[in-house]
Amino acid sequence: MKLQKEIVSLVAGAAFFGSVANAEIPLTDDLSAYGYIDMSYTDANQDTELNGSVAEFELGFSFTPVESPYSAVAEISYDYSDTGTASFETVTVTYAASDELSFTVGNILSYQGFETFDATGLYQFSAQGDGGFQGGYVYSAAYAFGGSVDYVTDEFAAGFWAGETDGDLSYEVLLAFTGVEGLTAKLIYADDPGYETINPWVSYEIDALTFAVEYVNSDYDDGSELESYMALVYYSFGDAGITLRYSDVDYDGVDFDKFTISPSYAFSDNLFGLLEVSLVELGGDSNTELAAELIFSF
Amino acid sequence: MKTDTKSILYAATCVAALFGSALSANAADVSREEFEALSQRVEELETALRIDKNAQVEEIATEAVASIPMSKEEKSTLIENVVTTIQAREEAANFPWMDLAKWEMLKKGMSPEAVVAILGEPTLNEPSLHKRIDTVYTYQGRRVATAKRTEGIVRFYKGKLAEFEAPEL
Repeated sequence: MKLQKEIVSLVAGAAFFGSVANAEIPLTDDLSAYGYIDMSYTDANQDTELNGSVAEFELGFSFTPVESPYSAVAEISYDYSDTGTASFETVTVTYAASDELSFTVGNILSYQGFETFDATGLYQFSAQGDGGFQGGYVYSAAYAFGGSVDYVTDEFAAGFWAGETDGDLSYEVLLAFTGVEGLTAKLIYADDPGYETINPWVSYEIDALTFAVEYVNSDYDDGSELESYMALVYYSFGDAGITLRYSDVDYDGVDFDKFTISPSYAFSDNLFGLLEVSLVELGGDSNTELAAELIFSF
Repeated sequence: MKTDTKSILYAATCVAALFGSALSANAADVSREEFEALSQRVEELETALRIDKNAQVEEIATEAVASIPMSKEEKSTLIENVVTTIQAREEAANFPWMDLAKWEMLKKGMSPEAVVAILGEPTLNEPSLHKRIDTVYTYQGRRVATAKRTEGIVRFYKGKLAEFEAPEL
């Protein structure tokens, strides 16, 4: 009995020491910070437009209490290539009514696009369009204030976003199908006082290969029209990969073609680098664009 | 030994109190060098406490079995067994993933929920920049008996286990 008592006291002591051994510096269970640093070196016009810079620094906070249906995200981005100032990206509060249904308000990223606005989601450095127009992005919307309702299952997703532009309704509708292994198909329709856009895209992954095709058509209220076709193939071999992309963009009668080849390498889960060579033709003039990029995430 | 433990605990408390009061009094006055020096000091003290704890557990176990009528060899074996059992239980309670048998249960294609059911909650849950990896679960901690830092990693792609690296135990 005495031995048993002593062992009980030993175990109790071990429990106390255990709390010391595990001491760390936690923030909170609910709050996490994340972000990335994107550095790039670009040669947009055969040695005449050489630029090396920190292209973007993004810092985000995610507040996701385990037992609560409410969550919040706030992301701040400092984009050197844009205005040189910090700006909000996603800043949202979400209510998850169930595992599938959620309601979100705040500054929300448009449903449009296979190509992401964050560098971490791209398979290459540049976007498919002419860098001189909207930074190469062919979509008619990016981040905007409004509210959305999203219903997501393993097989399909549907979303509706509504906001306002100059006092008038602006909205986007998303339908997505993900019911086949490796396949993602999305159809986005956007209607705004300033534009009307339809944007279907499909991607398919099989083993080390990823295929994607995308179409964008936007009619702007000033009478101009944008039409873009894009096809992409990505091949992954271990930590390395290579992207081949072809895009054909017609903006208000001016034709833009771009062929991109981009080898990449994931040095770790947090460090990713790539090189890019793009052969572009704008209104009959040819050019070669080069880029090197290094992304560090945290 | 008890005096040493008290001294270490007292020093750790003083450092923690100084650190806390400095932060609350005027956080802007603490330079990065001072912060790193304090962090290093706390780390040293925690390491010392861990070493001291192992010795103390052994000392208490020796005391506990001293009055039991048995041979010296039997007592020594009993003490070792008690200490090992306590350390194993502490490790299992705090770091359930520090068990290679659990890592051998992992299979490609498993869901994150299935992995957590086996290994417990990860220390870190991070996205990956690798194009064929979405999420990385990192399990980090120190062995209770040796204070050696160890780490295991599980990577997921599209909600399925893609690869894992078992910790060196």
